[in-house]
Amino acid sequence: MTTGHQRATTWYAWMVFALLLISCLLIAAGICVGSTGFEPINTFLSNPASHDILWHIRLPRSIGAYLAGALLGMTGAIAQGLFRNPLADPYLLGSASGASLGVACALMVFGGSPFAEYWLARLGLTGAAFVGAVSAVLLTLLLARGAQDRLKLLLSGVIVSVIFSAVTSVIAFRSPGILQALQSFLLGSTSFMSWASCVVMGGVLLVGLIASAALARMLDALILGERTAMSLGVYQPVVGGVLILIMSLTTGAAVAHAGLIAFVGLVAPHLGRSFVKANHAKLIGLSTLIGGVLLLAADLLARGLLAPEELPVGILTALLGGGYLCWLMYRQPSTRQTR
Amino acid sequence: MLVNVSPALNETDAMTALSENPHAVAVKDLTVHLGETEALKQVDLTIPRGQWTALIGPNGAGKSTLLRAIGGLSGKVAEIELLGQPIANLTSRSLAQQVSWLGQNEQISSDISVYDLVMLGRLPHRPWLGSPSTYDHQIVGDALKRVHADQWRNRLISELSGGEQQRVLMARALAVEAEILLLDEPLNHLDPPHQADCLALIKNLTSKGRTVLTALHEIAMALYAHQIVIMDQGRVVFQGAAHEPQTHRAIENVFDDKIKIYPLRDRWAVLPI
Repeated sequence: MTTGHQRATTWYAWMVFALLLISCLLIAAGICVGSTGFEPINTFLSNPASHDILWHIRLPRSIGAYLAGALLGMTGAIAQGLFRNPLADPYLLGSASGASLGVACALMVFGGSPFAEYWLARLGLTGAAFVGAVSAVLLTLLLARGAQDRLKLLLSGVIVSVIFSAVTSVIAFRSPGILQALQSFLLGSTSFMSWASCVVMGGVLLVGLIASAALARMLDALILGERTAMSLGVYQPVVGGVLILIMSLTTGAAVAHAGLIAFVGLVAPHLGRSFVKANHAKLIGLSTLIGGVLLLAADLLARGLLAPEELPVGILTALLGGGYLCWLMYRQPSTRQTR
Repeated sequence: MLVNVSPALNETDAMTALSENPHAVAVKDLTVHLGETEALKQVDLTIPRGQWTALIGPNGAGKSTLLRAIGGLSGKVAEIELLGQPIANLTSRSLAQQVSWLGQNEQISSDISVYDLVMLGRLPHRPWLGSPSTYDHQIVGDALKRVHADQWRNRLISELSGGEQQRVLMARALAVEAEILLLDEPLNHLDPPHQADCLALIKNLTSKGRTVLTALHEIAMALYAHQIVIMDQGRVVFQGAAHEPQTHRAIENVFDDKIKIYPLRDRWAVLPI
């Protein structure tokens, strides 16, 4: 309506366009980077092995990394809006420790070597991580008796995390053979992405985006405080409950396929917020794209830096994310405190 | 793009509605517990329609609790009727359209532009998805003008002073276009000229048939209202017209005679003893 708003909308459209462009470029770059270098690209048509490397390994891995990052970015933006806390992240309600416990249990059952029965074991691990992540969040909701009280929710999240971590440690302690595999899950990795992972994560992302587009206005209203929001017909326990269930799904899907990727879900919304103020529909969209770009870029670095060796991508995201937050804190120390 | 918008409720409508149902709010035997304590004890109260009623009383008397209860913020209880309808029978959306609530000390948790914040007041009227209509934009522009906050429409709320923020929050409450406005300490943080503006705004609302119910700790300001409701320890102890001497005596009484209300030309001055 007003010129200011038109300008903001046009600018947002450009941002989205630029991010989508960067995403495509990164995915293209993802096809070029790997332990065998550019070789498969040159021989793509002539050599069936090269075809397989590009089509069954590099492409799904790049798209999968992007989708996992997008899921985490979206969930982070929802979590920060719902808890009205800029330090909230997707793992806040126990999903990380739940997924770890699930993986530890699965590893114990499958005997620590996921290569024995590769597909079955892989499916088992992914499923176990997902089930673990979702049940941890459900347990948190149960402990907090619904989404009525934010503080109770956060505390329950901490309680569930601590207890699940303890159980995971007990399992690891009793069967030391699984330690290495468990460690690689905890660090996060995109090397097991398949087309199936992409389909699952893409589907969940779509569901999450539709749900958050429908509920974004409620998150906007919650900025005014729970009571004022309620006077506007926005009932926090209901909105919160629905969003937490969505968050458990999206986080579960991401960690099940990529492990515990650190900081993407925390940093992406922060980056988004430096472009969009308190319009959750736009913020969630932007944070989704930024999350995807961040994780895929980090994954490219992880694959390329020490090639042909690979770094676990979670280590890189943690380093980059920590550095970014540090910069953010020292850039505007006085005004950041109030936000 | 800013047009003077005629309010949804014009004066003839208001008069017809008034004759149908003289009470905006009716509270019957309402008791509210806050944790262990009884914050409201068997409150009976009717608030006349199209008037400004001020709730006054010592700290902790239950003024804010009563306002929240009437707004349905402590549950939709059967003891409260709005315009003849028990709030328990209203959907959240229609309740939100009928009642606008301005709280005190509500924290704004994230940075948001003044214009977007006031637009949140249109939420009860907007469809589930889709952007604000031309009418929504008109109402928001009009609300900002009425509190003289139009010049800050593109500023962030955190950049404004306490008094300026209060005016923006008032605009948010106006943007709901509700028939009943529940304002908890609307004069908070306002300097005297803007307090006067706010009083004039409230009078203007009631002249157009809206019902305004305020909790006020400044008694001198409350005496500008049509009606005074005095509360003490969770009970309504007196209700009367603001200009009646017996209302003034009741006010002095509830404050343990530590204040005195003196006539001053055609108004009153409230002084501590």
